[in-house]
Amino acid sequence: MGLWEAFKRRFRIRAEQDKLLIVDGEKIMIQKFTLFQRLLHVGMFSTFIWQILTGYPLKFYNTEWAKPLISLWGGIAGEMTIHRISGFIMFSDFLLTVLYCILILIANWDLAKKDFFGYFKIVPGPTDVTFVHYVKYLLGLRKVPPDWDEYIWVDKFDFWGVGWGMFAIGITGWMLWLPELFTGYLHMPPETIQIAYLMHSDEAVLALGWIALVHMYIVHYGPNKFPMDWIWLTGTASEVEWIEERPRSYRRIIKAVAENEPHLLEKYPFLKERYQFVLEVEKLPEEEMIEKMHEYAHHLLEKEAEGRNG
Amino acid sequence: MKAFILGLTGAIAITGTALGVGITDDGCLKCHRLKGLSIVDKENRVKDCSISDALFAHSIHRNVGCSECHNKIEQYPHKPENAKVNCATKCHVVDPSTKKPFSHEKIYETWKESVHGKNYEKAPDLYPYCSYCHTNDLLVDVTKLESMKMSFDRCSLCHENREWIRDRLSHVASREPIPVIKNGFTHQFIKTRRDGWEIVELCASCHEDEKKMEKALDIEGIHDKFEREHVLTAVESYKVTMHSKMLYLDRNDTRAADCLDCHTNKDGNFHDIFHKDDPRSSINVKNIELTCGRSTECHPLAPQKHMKNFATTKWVHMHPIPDSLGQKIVKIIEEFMFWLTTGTLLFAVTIVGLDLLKNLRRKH
Repeated sequence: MGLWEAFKRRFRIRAEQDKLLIVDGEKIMIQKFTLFQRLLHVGMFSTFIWQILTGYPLKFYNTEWAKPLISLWGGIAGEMTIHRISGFIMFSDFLLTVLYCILILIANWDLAKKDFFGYFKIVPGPTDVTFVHYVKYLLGLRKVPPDWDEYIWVDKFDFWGVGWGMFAIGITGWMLWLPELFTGYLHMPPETIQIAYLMHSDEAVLALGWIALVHMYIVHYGPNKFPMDWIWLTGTASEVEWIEERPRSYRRIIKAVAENEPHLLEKYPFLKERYQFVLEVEKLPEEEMIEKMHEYAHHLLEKEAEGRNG
Repeated sequence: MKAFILGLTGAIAITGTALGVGITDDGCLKCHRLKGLSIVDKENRVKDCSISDALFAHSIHRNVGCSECHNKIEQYPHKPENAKVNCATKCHVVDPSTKKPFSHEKIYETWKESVHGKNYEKAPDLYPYCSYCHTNDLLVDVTKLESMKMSFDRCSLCHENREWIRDRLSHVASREPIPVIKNGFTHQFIKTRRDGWEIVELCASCHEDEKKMEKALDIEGIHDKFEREHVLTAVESYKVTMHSKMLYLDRNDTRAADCLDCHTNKDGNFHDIFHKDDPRSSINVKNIELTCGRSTECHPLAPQKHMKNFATTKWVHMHPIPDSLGQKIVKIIEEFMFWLTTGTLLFAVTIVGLDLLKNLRRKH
C-alpha cells in the first residue's frame, strides 16, 4: 500500500454507516466524535479555563476579586507565566485542528468536488435553513423543531467561533507577548499593539460570554442535558437523543447501513424495524415527519424503561 | 491637683522634647506644637497648622530651622500667606561633598522649566509646587532594624560619635527598601519610597481632575480638540494598560512603568517633565526609543534596534483619539469589537431565553 493510500485511509471522512454502533447486540449508539477530536476539545477547554482564571483579573482589574486571584497565581509574574504557557498550548491545539482540517480536505478532495456541503457537514451550507426553522419554532410559528443534520447551528457556531477567536485572541496574544518582534523586527505599524490589546480584551468577554451562555446551556445546564452531555468524554450519543436532536442525520445513517451493510439488517431485526420506520416517515411532510420521529423516540424510551423494570 | 501635675508634666515633656533633640525651630514650635492650632482660609476650609515636634525631630528636615525654608516669615505672628516654603533657598546645612551651603536650587530650576513649573506663577493653586509631591518624610530608626546592625557596627569602627552615625545611616537607609530579618531570614522589606502605583495615584490626584486640567489647558493655550482630549484622558487611558494593571494588582512587582518612568529622563532627576514637542522631553520622538529601553529595563531592544514603531505605539495610553489615520482605524476596530461583542451576547441571551422557555413549556 502506497503512502498516499495510507494517508487517504487515515484521514478519509467516515462513511455514514460507520457512525452507527451496536452495543451488546441490542442497543444502537451513534458515534459523533473520534478520540482525536475529543482530545482536541479537552485541550481547548482546559486551557480556556486557565486563560479565563488568569486573564480576567487583568481585564477586570478594579474588582474586589482581581487582587486575591493574582496573588493566588504568585503575583503578576506567576499569572503571566501560566497565561502564556496555557495560551501556547491552546494555540498549538488550534494549529493542530487547522492542520487536521487541511489533511482531511486533501484526503477527501474527490468527495469535496462531488458534493462539498454533503461531505463537509461542519461547513455552513444550504442545510442551515434549519436555523430559520429553529427561530420560527422558538417564536411559535412552527410546531416542531427543525430537521437538524449531524451538526446543528450551535455546533457550527462553536467550531467556527473558535476559529475566529483564535485569530482575534490568539494572534493578538502573540503580539502582546512579543511586541518587539511584531513592531520592531516585522515593522508592523505602531497601532498594531493597540489594536491587539483592544481585540484581545474584547474577544475574551465575547468568548466567555458565548461559552457561558450558549455552549454551557446546550451541553450542561439546559433542561435536556443537565448535569452534562457526556458526549465530550465518550464521543457517542444514544439513539433516542440522536433521533430527537439530529433526525436528518439519523435517517441518513440508518439508510446507509441498510444500503451498504444489508447483512446487519438480517442479523439485527430491530435495525430492520428502524429502516422500515425511516422509509415510512420520509414519505410524510417535513413537520409531520419530525413529529412522528419524536413519537418514535419516546416509544423507544418507554420500551427501554419497560425492559429495565422487567 | 492630679490634673495640674499631669498638665505640668505634659507641658515640660513637650517643651523638653524639642530642646532635648536639639530642634532648631526658631521658636516656631512654641505655637505650632499646640494640637488643634488651625486657621480658616478664604474658602472657609479649616487648615490644621499644628506640628508634632516628636515627629519633626525624626524627619528628613530635622536639622533645618523653620525660617530657613519658610523664609518670608519675618514677624510674629506671621501672615498665613507668608508661610509658603522656598525650596530653592540655601540653608545652613553644609553639603559635605562641596562644603557649600545646601540647596535644592538645581532641581528647582528644572521644575521651573518643566510643564509643572513654567506657568506656576500664573496659577499657583493649579500647578504642583515641590511640597505637593514631597512631604517631610520620617527617617527610619536604624537602631531597631537587625539588618542595619552590621552597617551600624562597621561605621562605628572609625566614626566615634554613634549619634552622628545613626543620623547619617538613617538618611541613606531611607532611600532603599530595608530588609526585615526574622529567624535569620529576610521576612519582608520596609518600603521607604513611593512604589509605582503610589506615583500613579500622586499624578492622578491632579491629572484625573477634569476641571483642574481644563483650567490648566486654558492657561497653556492648548485649544486643539484632540490635544485636549489626550491630556484629559491621560489617566484613564493609562489605567487600562498592562503597565498600570501590573503596578496596581501586584504592589511587590515594580517592573512595569509608572508615569515618571516614561515622562522623565530618569537621569536621577525626576523633575524634567516637558511637553512631548520639547527636544528635552523623554517622550519626544527623538528620545522615545531610549525611554522605552531604559525606563524599566523592560524593552532594551527598543533603543538597540531603533524600534520606532514599537516605541511610538499607543499602548501606554490606550484610548484611541482619532487625530491620525492610524488612530481612526483603531477607533473603528474598537467600535467594531464593542458592537460585535454586545450584539453576539444579546443574541445569545435571546436565543437561550427563548429555547429555555420552549423547553420548559414542552416538559409540562
